[in-house]
Amino acid sequence: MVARILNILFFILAVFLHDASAQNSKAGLIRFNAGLAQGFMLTHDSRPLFVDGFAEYFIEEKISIKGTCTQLMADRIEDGMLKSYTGISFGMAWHAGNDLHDFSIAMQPGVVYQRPGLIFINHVAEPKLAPSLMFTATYSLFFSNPFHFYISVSENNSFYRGAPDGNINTSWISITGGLGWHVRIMNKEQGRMKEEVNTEH
Amino acid sequence: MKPLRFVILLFCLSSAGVSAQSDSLTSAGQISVGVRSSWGLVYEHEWNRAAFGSGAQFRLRFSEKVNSDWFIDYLQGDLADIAKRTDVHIGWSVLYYPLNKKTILQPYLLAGHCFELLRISENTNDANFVTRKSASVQAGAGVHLHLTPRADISFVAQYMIHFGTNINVTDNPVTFTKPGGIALQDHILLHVSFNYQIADLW
Repeated sequence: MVARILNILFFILAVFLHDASAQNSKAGLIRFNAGLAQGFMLTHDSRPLFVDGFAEYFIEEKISIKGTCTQLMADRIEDGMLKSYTGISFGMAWHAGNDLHDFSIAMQPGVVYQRPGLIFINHVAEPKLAPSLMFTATYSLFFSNPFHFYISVSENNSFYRGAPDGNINTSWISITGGLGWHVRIMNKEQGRMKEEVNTEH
Repeated sequence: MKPLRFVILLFCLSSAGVSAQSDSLTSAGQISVGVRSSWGLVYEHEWNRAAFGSGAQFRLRFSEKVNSDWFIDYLQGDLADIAKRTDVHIGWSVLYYPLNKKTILQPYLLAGHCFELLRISENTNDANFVTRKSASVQAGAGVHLHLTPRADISFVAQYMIHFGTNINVTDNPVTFTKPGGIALQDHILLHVSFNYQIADLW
């Protein structure tokens, strides 16, 4: 039974890896990922669950532009720190690796619209907009066209300002992963020619 | 036949112009877009507090040694435990590269102008607020870290001084008043930005 499962796994890997070798350059690739993220608040005992997703476009082999959305769904702790939370961020990522394995680090400034779940005497906290800064490290396995696996760790820094005692640190780290989808939207050879012209300068 | 010759001549001239544009050998005319994150220390009389913000910018290069940043920043900070301040900066800076060689790390000096919209509001009563529009000048230094020929990360430290209406803040109860006159408010700002060149205009 085990041998049969291993055979199937090897067969799937062989098929997908063969397919991945056709990937070549990532320049011109766009990818979409969506999943559930388990968060951990940095300064509070709270473990929020987010739905998050990102779109990423490889403008060069090693550089991509990236936009991320995060929406709070629930918290594993009763009376969690965040009552509501929606964030968007946009930035750039630097990539290393090869056709199959991709490691990236990204930095994305953005904004969050959030409301803390804390109870204040004679005061009800209103949802407010605040600036944010997200750092992300991602590993992706481009095993096939148009699918890839990914695992990602993020840290998002923000403050809720305007609480009776000053600011509340609403920063968190999260881990997410799953299946992503990618497609080429720019001609690979054309992209390379443009890069060559630019490099010559 | 004359109109045909004229059209052919026009076609040749126009195609020559296009090829000259794509074969530009200088950095002049390069336009980049980027996003940035800011950390700052803001001074409003004794209310000296840290601020944090997000923003965006585009960059237009005038020549090999002169560039320009056109930016918008959205920053927030605290006034002790009683109020918060929100600053929106819209402005521009001219960048000067003192070194001749373009290396991976490219230092520069910068100076420019900025307009600010400030809103200070009481923490427990958002309806109690004051706003101010002001103009400023800023100067500082930075460095580009060129990741690829088109992409860079830039680090900037700058001093910004605003000329605007004076605002007095008192606590218990929290009040905001404008007694009149011009006051100087200043920021020390640190920025990190990601930029990518999208076009070469000339």
